[in-house]
Amino acid sequence: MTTGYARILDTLCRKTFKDSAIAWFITDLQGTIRYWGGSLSRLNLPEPGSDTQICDLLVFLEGMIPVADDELEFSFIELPSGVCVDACIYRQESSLDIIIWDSSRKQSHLRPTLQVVNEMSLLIEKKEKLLADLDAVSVSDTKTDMKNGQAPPGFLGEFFAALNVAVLEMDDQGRFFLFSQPPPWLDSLPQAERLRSGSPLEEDCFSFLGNFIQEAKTRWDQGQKQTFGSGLWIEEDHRGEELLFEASALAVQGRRLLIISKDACLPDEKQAIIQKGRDLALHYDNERKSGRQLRSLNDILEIRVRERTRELESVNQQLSIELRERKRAETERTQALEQLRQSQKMEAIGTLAGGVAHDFNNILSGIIGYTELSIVESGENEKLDKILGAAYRARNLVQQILTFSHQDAREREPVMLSRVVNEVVGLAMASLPADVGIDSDLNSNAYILADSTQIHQVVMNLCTNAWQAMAENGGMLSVGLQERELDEKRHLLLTIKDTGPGIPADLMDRIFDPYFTTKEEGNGLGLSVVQGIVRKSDGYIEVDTAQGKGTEFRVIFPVWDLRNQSKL
Amino acid sequence: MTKKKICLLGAFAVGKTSLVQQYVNSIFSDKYHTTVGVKIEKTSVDVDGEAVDLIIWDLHGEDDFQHVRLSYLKGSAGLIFVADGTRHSTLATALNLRQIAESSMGSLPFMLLVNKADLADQWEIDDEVMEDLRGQGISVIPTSAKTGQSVEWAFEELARKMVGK
Repeated sequence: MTTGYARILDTLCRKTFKDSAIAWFITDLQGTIRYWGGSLSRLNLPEPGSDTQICDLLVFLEGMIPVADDELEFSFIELPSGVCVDACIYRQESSLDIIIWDSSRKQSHLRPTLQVVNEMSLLIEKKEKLLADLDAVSVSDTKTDMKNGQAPPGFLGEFFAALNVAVLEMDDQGRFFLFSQPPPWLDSLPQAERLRSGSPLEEDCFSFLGNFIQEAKTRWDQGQKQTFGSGLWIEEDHRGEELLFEASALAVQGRRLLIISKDACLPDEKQAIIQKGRDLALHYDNERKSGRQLRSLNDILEIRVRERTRELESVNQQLSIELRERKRAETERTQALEQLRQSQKMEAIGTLAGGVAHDFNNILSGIIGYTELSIVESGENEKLDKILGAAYRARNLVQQILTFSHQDAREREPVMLSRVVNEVVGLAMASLPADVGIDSDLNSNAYILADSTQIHQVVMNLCTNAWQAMAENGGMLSVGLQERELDEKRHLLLTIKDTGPGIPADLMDRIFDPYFTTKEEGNGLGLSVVQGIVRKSDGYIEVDTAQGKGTEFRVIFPVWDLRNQSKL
Repeated sequence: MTKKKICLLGAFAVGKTSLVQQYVNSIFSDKYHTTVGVKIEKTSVDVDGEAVDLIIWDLHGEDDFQHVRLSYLKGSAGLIFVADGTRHSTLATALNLRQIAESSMGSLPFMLLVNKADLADQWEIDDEVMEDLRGQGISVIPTSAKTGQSVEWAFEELARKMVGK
């Protein structure tokens, strides 16, 4: 994946960042460069060899490899080559991804303003130090009537005048008086007239200095002598002109002084401050943009990886589906082959049985004929009667074999199924054991197209099986007939249900097989003959069984519309 | 060859860049030139017969606008804190930075250089304060990037500490 990853990075560098001095590296976790690309020459970097360590190329990474965190960012790193870069390092599972790009222009843009600000800060520090030094100067000889706004004589007066500041002193009641000669700009301050007249001002007279004065009082009460500043604030004077003020509080020989200066900065310095603010805002904005750009680059890569992963998953899923389909087709093919084999076997058995039965029938005809003649000639003869009885049973069996093998050509005709069922139920009622009840619910007199004798045989076989299943413990034989709409065509549903022990699950697949029987005296042809007749009558048969609860056979025939009689 | 990363930290305008330039390139300029970001220098030093490559990170000064990013300290083998002898507040900044670095990086070999020894008459940091710091186990060295006083020795002493000699 790393090769593909490298290719994507390379393409992005060439196409998206073609005019930028940007370079990327993929290293192993120990920092050996494996892939790289971008504009190395524009970053004044040599091309790496096959085993170059990233720290040899990007010296600032010394000591950081292996990177412990997932991500590192650097701004304005001035390399020994003289190029200033920004850098991002991402730690992956088995690699480090490093992107660097030229930030010299950004740096050169930021440097002048920082330079001005730092130089200004140095000047301010110096001024504060000078004010603090005043504490060492004796002001005992300045005890004139300060509260009348008279300037203190001597050094202090000259000093404050030179600084062009307004100096107020706070008395024990927390009121302010003008301490020094008023500066020319005093009228810009609120209540300047009161100050000039020597009237005291309450401590909350400067709303913008509220918190600052409270802090100053705390410091004064604690005996702190250091100067501290309020920071800059902008105030509009009565002409609407914006003015820049700064206040400092200090204690000099027990005097609590508030020094207010106007336009603490020269116009160009003020401009520098504003510029600095804007540049800083731009700088952070650029940093955010760079970060976003890199994150976007990373996002693109992640999206590509996710897409590729999804594609692979999709292909994998498709393969799984195909494999399942093939397996199912294979199973179906095996089942179809098995069915074909079974069908061919049945066909062969049927053909064989039919042939044998036909010949056997001819032989039986002779036996029956000559036995009947012998009885006529010799009168009552028990042995001949037994031979004749056995011959009749043999003929019935042969008839069933012929039915099974479809070799008894019979013609189909409209048959009222309910009539046939009624006949069978009547016969059954006469022969059922006492502990087997019968319930008949026939709700249709519709016709089906079939051989009535064979349908008789179907109903009889199913009923016989049903009551035989209940012979041991008794039960109820239920016979039902009703119409059903299937595929928008009328059908007759014949149900024959017993409450016997049910058919074992392992035998269900074989109950319609010819010659399969669980009865000691059964021939195994009953259900296979039933199935054969039903199919020949365009019907089909279903069976449901539940262990201990019984078995239900459902036989469905299409209803024969008597209006079709002419088509027969 | 052994490679070691050193970071220089301190308030603005204390002379960090000047110290590095004096040590690496033996040059000095009176003109204050603020550092934006980080300036990387590389030099070799012989520590009792062992050559050690020093990767020197000259970090921008700490002030209200630019704070030292702790991530820049990663991988450092040693730290140099710089104060300006003529500005007492810069000592507090240096000691504060030392505390921050120690909480982030653990205990690393370090030196405290009190720079601008050539302006000794304007110093606000007196010998008593420095002795007090030395009493706390801190190597405090007055230096002058302008004259080169103790600059080379300070870097080599730190290199010696870093390689454990």
